[in-house]
Amino acid sequence: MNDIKQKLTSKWNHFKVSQGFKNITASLLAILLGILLGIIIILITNINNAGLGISRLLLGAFNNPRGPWIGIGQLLYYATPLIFTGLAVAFAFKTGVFNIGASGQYTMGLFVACVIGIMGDGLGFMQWPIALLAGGLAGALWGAITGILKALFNVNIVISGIMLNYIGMFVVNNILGVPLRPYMVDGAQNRTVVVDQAARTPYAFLDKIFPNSGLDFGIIIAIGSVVLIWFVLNKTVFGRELKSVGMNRDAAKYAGVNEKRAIILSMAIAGFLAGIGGALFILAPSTRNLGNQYSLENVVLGAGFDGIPIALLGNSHPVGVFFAALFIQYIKLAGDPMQSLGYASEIVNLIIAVILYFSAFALIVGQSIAKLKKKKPKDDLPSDLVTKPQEVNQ
Amino acid sequence: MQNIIEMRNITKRFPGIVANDKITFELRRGEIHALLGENGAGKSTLMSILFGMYKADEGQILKDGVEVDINSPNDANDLAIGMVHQHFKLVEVFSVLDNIIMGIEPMKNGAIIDRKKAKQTILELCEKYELHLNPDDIIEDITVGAQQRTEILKMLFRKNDILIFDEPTAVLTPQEIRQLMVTMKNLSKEGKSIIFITHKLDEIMAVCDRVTVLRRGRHMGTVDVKDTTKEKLSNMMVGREVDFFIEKKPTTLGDAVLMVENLSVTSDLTNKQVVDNVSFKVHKGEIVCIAGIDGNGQSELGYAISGLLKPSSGNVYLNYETITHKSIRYRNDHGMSHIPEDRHKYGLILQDTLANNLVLKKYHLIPFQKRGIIQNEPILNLAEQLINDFDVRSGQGPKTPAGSLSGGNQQKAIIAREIDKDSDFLLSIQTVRGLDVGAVEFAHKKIIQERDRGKAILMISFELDEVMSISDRILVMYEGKIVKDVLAKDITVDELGLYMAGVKKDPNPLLSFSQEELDKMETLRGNK
Repeated sequence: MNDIKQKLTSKWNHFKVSQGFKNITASLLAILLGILLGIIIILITNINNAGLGISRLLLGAFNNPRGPWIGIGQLLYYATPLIFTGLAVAFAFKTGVFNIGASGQYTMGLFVACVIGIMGDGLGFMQWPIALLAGGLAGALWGAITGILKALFNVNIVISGIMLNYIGMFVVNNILGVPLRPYMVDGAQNRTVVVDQAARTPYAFLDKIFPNSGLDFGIIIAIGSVVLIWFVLNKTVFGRELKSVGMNRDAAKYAGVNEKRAIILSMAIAGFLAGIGGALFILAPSTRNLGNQYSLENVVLGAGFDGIPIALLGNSHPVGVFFAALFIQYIKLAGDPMQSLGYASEIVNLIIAVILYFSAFALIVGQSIAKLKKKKPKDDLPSDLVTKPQEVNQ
Repeated sequence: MQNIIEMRNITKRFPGIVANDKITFELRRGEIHALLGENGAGKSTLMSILFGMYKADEGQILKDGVEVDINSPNDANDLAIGMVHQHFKLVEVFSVLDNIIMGIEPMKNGAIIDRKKAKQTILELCEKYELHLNPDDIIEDITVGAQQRTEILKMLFRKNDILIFDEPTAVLTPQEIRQLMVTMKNLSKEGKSIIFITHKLDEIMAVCDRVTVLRRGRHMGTVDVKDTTKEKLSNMMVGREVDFFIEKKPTTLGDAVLMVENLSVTSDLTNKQVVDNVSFKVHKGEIVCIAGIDGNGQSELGYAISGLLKPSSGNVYLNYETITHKSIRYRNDHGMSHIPEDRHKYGLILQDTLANNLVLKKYHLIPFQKRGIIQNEPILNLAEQLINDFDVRSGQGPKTPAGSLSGGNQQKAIIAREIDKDSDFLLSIQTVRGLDVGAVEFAHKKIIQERDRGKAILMISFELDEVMSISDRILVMYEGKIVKDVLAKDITVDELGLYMAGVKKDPNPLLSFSQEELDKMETLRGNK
């Protein structure tokens, strides 16, 4: 017994000083500050209802009057695409690339999965896996374009990513709006029709555990992807190469890594993840098997952008991304219940923004502390040998 | 003689280290005072405190007996303290004159820079101190020595009386060093007080009046140069006897391992041939050293051989196989080791662990991976073995982040990795840059061991001492060309300096392949 206790203590002591612990505490601190600000705003806007407002904010997913199981189910269901866009941003970030184009990749994945989901009638029971995979590949293609532009022509990844977000959205809306309109769009609502029954991801008994929440097999795929990405990044030669490019592009090149190939592949995989996220959204059976629809508005989908705070909050660690996505979705689910009390549901977005700021801030503070620490041994080193903080390719 | 500067009991701590521990330093008016110490001894920290870049935790600074507070280089300047940094602070595209007057431009009519008056003053200063400079030259067109004179004039123009020279001779040819010594003597004759930071003992013996020795942040003593010897000084500096001479056994040359044939590299920026039709061979069992002043194409030549840069024409052969267009990984896996010029940029992934850095060029090979999965145990074993064999000192062994190692240990780790690869050819660039005497000794011994084991070694060095002490054969590079190919024993430092400065040139040595070599190359090509 004592032995186990000792082991645990030593593990804990080891963890306490590790980088992971620092990252987690920084993220938790950012969350705390964000929620604190949310509470302050609630107090300022309407102090009379504040008690109820704050409790609804903190209850998040558990506001659902029909019980906590529905709340948890909904949380997991809505978080599924976010886990994927979070992974898409985090994975690219590990290679030192800022994937701001997750939205475009998400949209392309959604679109292609939707086309196959509606028009691929002959595929039978393979319709949903094929639609899913095709969605992922469409996202991968969209991501790879950014990667190729960066690797071959040194085009700034942020710029090409943002532009491809818009290009993706307009391409999709125009294809749906004109040539495919008769087959896929419900004219009255200006939305796509729901995908075929065979194209919907199965509930896989999750509807028995979380009835009426809409939760389906997608969350299992998401968890599997988290594990897979963690494995690739930490256990494989391929992941090691990508990470070495992210940590020091020059040294990776020197060590024999083809860093251009690494950037292209990393962006393609990131795009694949985002594309799967989009596909899973549109293929989801949703509550009572009603299905999901894509609305043909000229707005870049937010799910892709949500990937950025999620990756940041999760410190680009796949498991961190998983929990960060759950948290962001948890807070988002507080939006509507708060609105019914007269508070703007945008308070939730505000909290997310504050969290984003503070986690970025924690990153910068951490870096400058590290920099200060590094000043000591440089004494007689020439100035150009002094370590620079990790640079992100743009 | 009266002290113009007194630094009393200066203590400066950085997290985990005391860079300066109660150091007392006195500078007399009109003397040349050397500050001697190994890397990391605290010389730069002490001078940064005097120059206002760091604030001392304890202790006081007195100028002319009055305590002063120096919070920024501007304060230092107001107290007539000037500094020539190791890396010059000059605007490359400006003229000498504009660089000198920058920040304190003399004005006429309140708004227009009075260049005429400034030029007059500068020319007077040049004459007074025998500094040869044309104020209208553009910085990027003049030699490193002239750039240094510009820095000196900057201090004189600001009427500085206390001049700090931070390792000023590192970038100069022997001839330029001698000229600098004369200049320093002239300056001290005119009443300027000079602090001369260096770790070169010969220079101290030649020009200084007194020397203060620091070791690991402590003051080891201040002595008159005339009462001491080089041996005594090095003993004070390192704390033990140091071998100034490297013992080398004679070796027999084997086959040519590396052959470079008419190699040229064109710069993307200037479109100039930075490496111009270079040819040479490196044989088994010899150390060939490329000497030259920094910026004459040596770095680019190194990049072209290692594959980091594409040559514009010519060929590189490794073991008779042409590798000109092969990937870096191919070269790594087929007998090339490379100790890079910049260990932070290329040599190490600083955020990653020491173990991962030690296996940086091997993790894609069995047994470090199986079916694409990284195998931790062989990696850790290799790391521990290398850490032992090469005496890499770190806080947490293989798990230490590479960035937290000291510079010397970082370089040891790189040397360990590259030698462990057991390649036929070792390219080593600026091997001992920023290393202290002990680490230099270690690195050189290891490299000579490799040569004795029959490896072919190509070194690129900007330090003449290193070139003279370690090479079997020396190639001098000047403006992208090889201007001299000579056995180390057949040339003196002075003659080498003349080639480095471009005063003397031999015609580009032509490369000829023996029939045997041509046959070997042909067979390899046929096998492909």
